[in-house]
Amino acid sequence: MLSIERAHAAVVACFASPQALDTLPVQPGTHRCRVAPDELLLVAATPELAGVTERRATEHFAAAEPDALVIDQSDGWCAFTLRGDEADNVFAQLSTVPLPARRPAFLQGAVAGGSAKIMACDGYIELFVPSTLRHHVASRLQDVCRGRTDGAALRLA
Amino acid sequence: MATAEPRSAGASFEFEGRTIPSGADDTIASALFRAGVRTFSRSFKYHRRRSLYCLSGDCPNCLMTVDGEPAVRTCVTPAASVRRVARGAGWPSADRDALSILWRLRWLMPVGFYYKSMIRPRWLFPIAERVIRRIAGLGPVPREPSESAKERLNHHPDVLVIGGGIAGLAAALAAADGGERVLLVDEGAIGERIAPGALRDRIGVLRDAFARHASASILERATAFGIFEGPLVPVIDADFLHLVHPARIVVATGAVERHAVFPGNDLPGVWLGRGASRLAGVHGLSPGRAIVVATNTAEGLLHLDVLHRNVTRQGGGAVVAAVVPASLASGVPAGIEVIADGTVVEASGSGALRSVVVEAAGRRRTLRCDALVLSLGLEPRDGLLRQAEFEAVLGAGDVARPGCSAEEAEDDGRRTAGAAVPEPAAASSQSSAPQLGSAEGFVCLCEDVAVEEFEHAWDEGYRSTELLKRYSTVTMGACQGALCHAHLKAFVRQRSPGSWTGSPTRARPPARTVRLEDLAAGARVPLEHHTSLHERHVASGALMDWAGTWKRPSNYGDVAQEYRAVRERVSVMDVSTLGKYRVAGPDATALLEHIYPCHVGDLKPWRSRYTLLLNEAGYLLDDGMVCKLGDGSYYVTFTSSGGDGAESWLRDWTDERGLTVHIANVTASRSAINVAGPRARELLSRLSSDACDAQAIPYGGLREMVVAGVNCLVIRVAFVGELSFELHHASRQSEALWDSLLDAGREFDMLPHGLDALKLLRLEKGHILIGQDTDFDTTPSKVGLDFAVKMSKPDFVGRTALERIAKLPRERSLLPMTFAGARAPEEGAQLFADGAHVGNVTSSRWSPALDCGVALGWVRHPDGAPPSRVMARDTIGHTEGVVTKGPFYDPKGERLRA
Repeated sequence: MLSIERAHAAVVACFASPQALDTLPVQPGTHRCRVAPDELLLVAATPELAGVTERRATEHFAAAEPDALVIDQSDGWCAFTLRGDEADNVFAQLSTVPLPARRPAFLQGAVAGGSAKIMACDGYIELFVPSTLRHHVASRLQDVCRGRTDGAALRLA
Repeated sequence: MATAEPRSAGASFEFEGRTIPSGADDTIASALFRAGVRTFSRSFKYHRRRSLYCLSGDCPNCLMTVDGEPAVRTCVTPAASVRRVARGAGWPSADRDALSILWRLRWLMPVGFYYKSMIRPRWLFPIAERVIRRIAGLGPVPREPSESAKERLNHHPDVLVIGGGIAGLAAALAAADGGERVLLVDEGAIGERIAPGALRDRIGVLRDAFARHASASILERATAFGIFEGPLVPVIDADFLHLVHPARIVVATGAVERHAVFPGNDLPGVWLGRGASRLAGVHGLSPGRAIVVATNTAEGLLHLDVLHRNVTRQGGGAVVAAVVPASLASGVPAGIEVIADGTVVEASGSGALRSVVVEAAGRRRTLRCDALVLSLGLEPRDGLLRQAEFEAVLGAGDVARPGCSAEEAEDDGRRTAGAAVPEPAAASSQSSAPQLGSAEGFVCLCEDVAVEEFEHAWDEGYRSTELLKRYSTVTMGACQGALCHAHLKAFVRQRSPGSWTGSPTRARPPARTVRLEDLAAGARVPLEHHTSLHERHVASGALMDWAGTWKRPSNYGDVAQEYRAVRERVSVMDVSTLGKYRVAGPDATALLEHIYPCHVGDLKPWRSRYTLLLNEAGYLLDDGMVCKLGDGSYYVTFTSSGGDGAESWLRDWTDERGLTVHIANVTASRSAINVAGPRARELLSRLSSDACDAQAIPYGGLREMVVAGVNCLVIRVAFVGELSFELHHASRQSEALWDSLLDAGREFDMLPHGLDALKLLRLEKGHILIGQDTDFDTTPSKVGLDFAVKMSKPDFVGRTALERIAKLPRERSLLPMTFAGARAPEEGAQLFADGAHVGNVTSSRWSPALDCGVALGWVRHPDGAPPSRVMARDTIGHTEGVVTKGPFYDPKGERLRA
């Protein structure tokens, strides 16, 4: 059955040269999402990991590239986890971004009209939208799930 | 032939007061035909009686109002779920339509008559327009909002196949066999329009084989109505607007039988062969009791056979004559009179077909009949194919090779699925141009265009396919040229054989009729940004309103009190909507020096500066603050609606100049609260042990502070003209900070203020709002912002243009004005000086501080100095105003520098 719920994650943005970003070590369980050649998002499973992730990245860049910028952006993103057979279908109702068959994959594009980052993983999709759009996207998720005969578990608050 | 009862039990629907039973396989049209209905619509212009013709959704004859929706193609719409059906036009009824007299009065309404006659007297045209709108058309458009709320659904197949006939299925199967993800769409249910037999069986086999592939998807009763660049193909079905983004497209939409043009060709009882065959073979109904078949193709003989077998077997009528080339005469079943090498030259009857005139061997002969079935060749149903100019779009089957056999279509589909580039279409055995009959024959059934109207337009000088199309409106009706496009080309070719290039007119979406609400599927909800304090505002009873894409508090119930709180005590406002960015990296200063007209390099740490953002033409894009942080990086802000554009501007110039700059958008992760008013410093002192006096944070300064336990970047600002501090902080702590400020503010009788109060406060200071007070060509000097431009800088974006503009006389300015009357003029009020119109008011409010109206407005002054007095005229009346010098409030800025 389709399940959509709010997720809470740590998001740390790193801005540095491609070489410095490439050599940045990350903790197990932390996803590296390359937004641009000079921009990397580190996504960790819980908001509590933001501090340690930011600190370790700052330490790395202090040596590798002092001009780098490391910012805890956890407050700037709101995450939704879409699970179930219908997850891809729900996503396709809100975005023109094609989901690749090969997972995991990191994608960027518009979702429900707003800019988003997407982690397409085996069995689920992690959708990051600007926190200023949290209500908008939650409302659109509810819209597209309305009337589903197979039901959907929504925990969007 | 059975005509009273459907072949299988089904449902029923209401048709103009009657209950019409329908079978499980019935379309609305077949159920109505079985019930004896013969008038399905009245024509668009002349109100001629129209009945079923193509039965494939290609002609306009069966368009009816179904469950309140006008212009539904009832010949391809299943009857099962329909509740109410009505004919759209006809007065007093579609059966007996008095307006059919218009056909006899057509000499009054030649093609293009409205361009010439609807000019004078002017008062008549609006009346005539209303009358014409009521008379013409296909039925009233419902004005109530639809209950349906379709969503979009995106698909990304490797191959999209449009059309589930033999060629389309073969192409889909071949692509799926090759491991590709294939989406097949068909307007109906696959195979449903084919009479039982070998072809239908083969379609079933191909369909089943295709459906077994895991990578195969089928959308039935789904209409592709356009091919856009991308390619992008929108497809509508009952539930979704499907947006298909395929790598390749195979168009296998088949062909439509050639429409023949002769007098009376639109009479009820005149059929296209596939339609008549479908009526008999699929629905078990006879098109008439005495049927004449005219054909010149092998396919036509198949239709003749289907009609003969079904009609004769069930005793509903008979095929009485076949008009065929002598070469096909042997294929006509025994017992049917053969008229060899004949041509149908006229059909006649009063409201319905009674006889046809056939010319053969130089002699004319009249045949009594009530059905004339025409199968005279095929025209490609290429409305989609002609929209596509991409190599990734290929045609297969009849659409590319009209008249090909089923085997050829299957081979073609298979070959097309693997083709990288289109092969040139093989010349069709039926590619000859259609014959245009005499003047009264209808070329276009949708728009009621007869041959005589082509001739009329041609004589007026409309002598190309494009001009003739636009002037006569042929091909512009519901069928989008499916029936008449070939005739348009043929007419032009006949009239100018030496000069015609052979190019068809450009087809444009939609290829099929589509509801406007369906085009808006999934797009009806505007993007809506909320700050992290949104719930707090709502809980406070704030009136939330749109500000760009944000929802913001306009006020909390009492604008006057909110204003007074700022001016007399202290107030807070949520300014999280400001665009906020961190800018760092080795070239950060160089970038900001280049994009800002003010100095940046001389900014000391923990100092800020008001900045403008200009484009290359020297025009204002946005404004904001640039703040230098302790580590040498920058924190910059822009307006609420200008942030996204400013970010693009920063990134573009970084790339353009090859700079190494890191730009982090922190608009969402950092919230901001403005604490403003003469007692703002006292309030902050209650919540922080960090110093916030004029030495710690001077005017134009900033510092890091802990306020109510929240780490803040505190920036001195000036927008409302009072002592003000913006508290920038992590968004997750915003509610806690807001609550603490309100709690501590009770001591000062503090209130939050919204946009209504803000607009008055800033106007009293003469501060502009970008977008409201500026136009697309506003330079800093026009709005009194010269102080923010340092022409002493060697270079910045817009400098060259400003230098050039400075040498030109300034013809208009945004000027401050006061109005001493009882009210301020409305925003948008027109301004006059010495009786001449000179401009308009952009911002206006009644100022409690000055006890008069204050406004900003654009004033033209081509002769030099602006006028000293103006008259504002708005929807209420006139107001006398005086042009002053701003700012109106605290002109020396002593309060905000406190």
